[in-house]
Amino acid sequence: MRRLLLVEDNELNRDMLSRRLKRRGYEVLLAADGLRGVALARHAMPDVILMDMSLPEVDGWEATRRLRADLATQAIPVIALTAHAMPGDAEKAMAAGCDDYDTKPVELARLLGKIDALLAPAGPGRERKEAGCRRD
Amino acid sequence: MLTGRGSIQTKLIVILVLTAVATALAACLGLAFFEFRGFRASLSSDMRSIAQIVAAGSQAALTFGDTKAASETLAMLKAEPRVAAGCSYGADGKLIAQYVAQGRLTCPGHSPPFPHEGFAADHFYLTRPIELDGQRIGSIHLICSLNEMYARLTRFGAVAVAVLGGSLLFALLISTQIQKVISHPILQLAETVMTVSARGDYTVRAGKLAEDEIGVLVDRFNGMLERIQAQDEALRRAHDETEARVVERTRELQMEIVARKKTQAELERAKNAAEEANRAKSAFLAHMSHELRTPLNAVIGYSEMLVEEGEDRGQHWADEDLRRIGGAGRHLLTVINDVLDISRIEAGRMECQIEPVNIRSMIDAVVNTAEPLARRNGNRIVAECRTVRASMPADVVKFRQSLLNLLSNACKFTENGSIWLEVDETEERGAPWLRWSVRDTGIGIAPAHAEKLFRPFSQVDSSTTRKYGGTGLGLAISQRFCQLMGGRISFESEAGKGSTFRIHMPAEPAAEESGARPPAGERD
Repeated sequence: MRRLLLVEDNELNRDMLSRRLKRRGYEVLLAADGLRGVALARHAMPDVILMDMSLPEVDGWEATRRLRADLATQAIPVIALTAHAMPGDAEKAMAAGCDDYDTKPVELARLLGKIDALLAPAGPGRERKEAGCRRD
Repeated sequence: MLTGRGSIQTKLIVILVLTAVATALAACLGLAFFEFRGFRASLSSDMRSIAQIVAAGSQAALTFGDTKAASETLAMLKAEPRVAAGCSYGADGKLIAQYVAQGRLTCPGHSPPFPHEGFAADHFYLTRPIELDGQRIGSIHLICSLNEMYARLTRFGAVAVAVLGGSLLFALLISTQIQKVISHPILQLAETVMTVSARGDYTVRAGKLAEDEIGVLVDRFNGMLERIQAQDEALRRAHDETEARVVERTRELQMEIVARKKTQAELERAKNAAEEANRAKSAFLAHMSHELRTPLNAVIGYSEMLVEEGEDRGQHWADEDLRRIGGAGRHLLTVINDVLDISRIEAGRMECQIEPVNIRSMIDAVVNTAEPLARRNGNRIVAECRTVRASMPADVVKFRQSLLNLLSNACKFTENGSIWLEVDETEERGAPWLRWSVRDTGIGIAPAHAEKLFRPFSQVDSSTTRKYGGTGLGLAISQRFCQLMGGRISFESEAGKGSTFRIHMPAEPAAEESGARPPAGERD
């Protein structure tokens, strides 16, 4: 079973999205802030992380940078899932090390497509990201 | 002295004195010459008379050979002091008697040839024959001293020297005064020239003393001074005016600079305030967008989730209402996106990425997206591409959004009808353009409403919103998008029969067309 980590501080969104993803057969781990998100990622090694950006303790951009800096977690794909939908927000998320970016409100079919793309074995996206990590 | 250094006064004095002395000298020399000539003439004339008298007196003595009588006759010569010696000779020429007054002059031993007379250095001599009845019986020889003549000449010379000296002094005295007639005006003129050149004062005038050449010179000089003075004054006036103008202009410029600095500072403040306001607005929009999306995510997500979970449990009684909640949420999302678009457009912050857009792919994509919407109202979409071009320059996202807006409008306002999407080529201002026409058989638009069509928040009437949904921003945004890409949207419609909306786009990249360029946008 594919394991997803959803880092999200809004309780409603956490509940709603985790239930919908579980219904589609994913194991969903939850974290309510960036610090716990990074710790859980290191501990549970999920297949994909869905990362909100506006988070308490450590925000999504910093959390992603920490995941990327850690050898154990640097290969885990991260999808920025954020209500920051202004021009430039996608670039900002990618610059922090995210592999993909999607906006809220979530359009589930679109998000699932992005998750599947990142889970596909030996996708070109991973290669590129690993190269990007070494650059950091 | 007359041509070299020395004052004109000296020169004039020298000229005058020399002239006077030369004149006196010439007069003296002339007088001396005539005196000399007259003395000699009277001497020889006197001597000739005396010789005649003595010859007559000696006739008897010589006839008779009486030496004594001859000597007595000669002794009469004593009465004439000028005679230095008298000599009587016989017919044979031998000296018979002589008279010697004094000095070294004596009679020659033999009679000199006669008749003869002449001047020697210090004496005059004269020889005359003594005749009786036409027969020569002897001769007489007189010697006359010239001492008296020389004495007179000496006296004359002394007088001449005195006269010359006197005339020299007199000439000096006179010329010293007279030269002033000439030199005074010249000196005065020279002094004026010195004053003018030393002080640069052109108001000075030379005094005119006489109507002669110097007077003319003075007149000319004064005339010249007048012209120079006039020019000088004109120059000074011009200079003063220029200076005044420079001062005035400098003052104006300084005031202008101050004013400009003030304006610049005000502009700077206004610009900063505007930028600050813009930043605040952007921040507010970003914040609003974020804060609305988060609860919307829950609203839409839960409504969809409940449908999914109801399906799992085989319960469908709430599906319709849940879809309404989801639809309302999505509509709110559209409103948010449209408001953001409009505010970005109006702030001039909308960016355009012009790149080649594939025409057929674009047609397929929008038809696919609009198809479900069309089916909902029982419409069919017919697409036709009548251009051979593969691509056109546009911002793919904005063009798709604009075209989709026209298509979804057509689907919304048409029931059980047809919607045509046609692409064909036209020409504008000599350049190839593409025309994307969306034609429907829907309700159409009354001419009265036409002009409000592209204004934000202006659906034809509020009942339209209730019936057909939409934000009233779609056409306004699409029109602005197309304008940003160098094109525009036009439409024609007849109420009740349908509408045709057209997007006109340049078919080729505009080299210098500023409209096709993206405006400077914000960088996050």
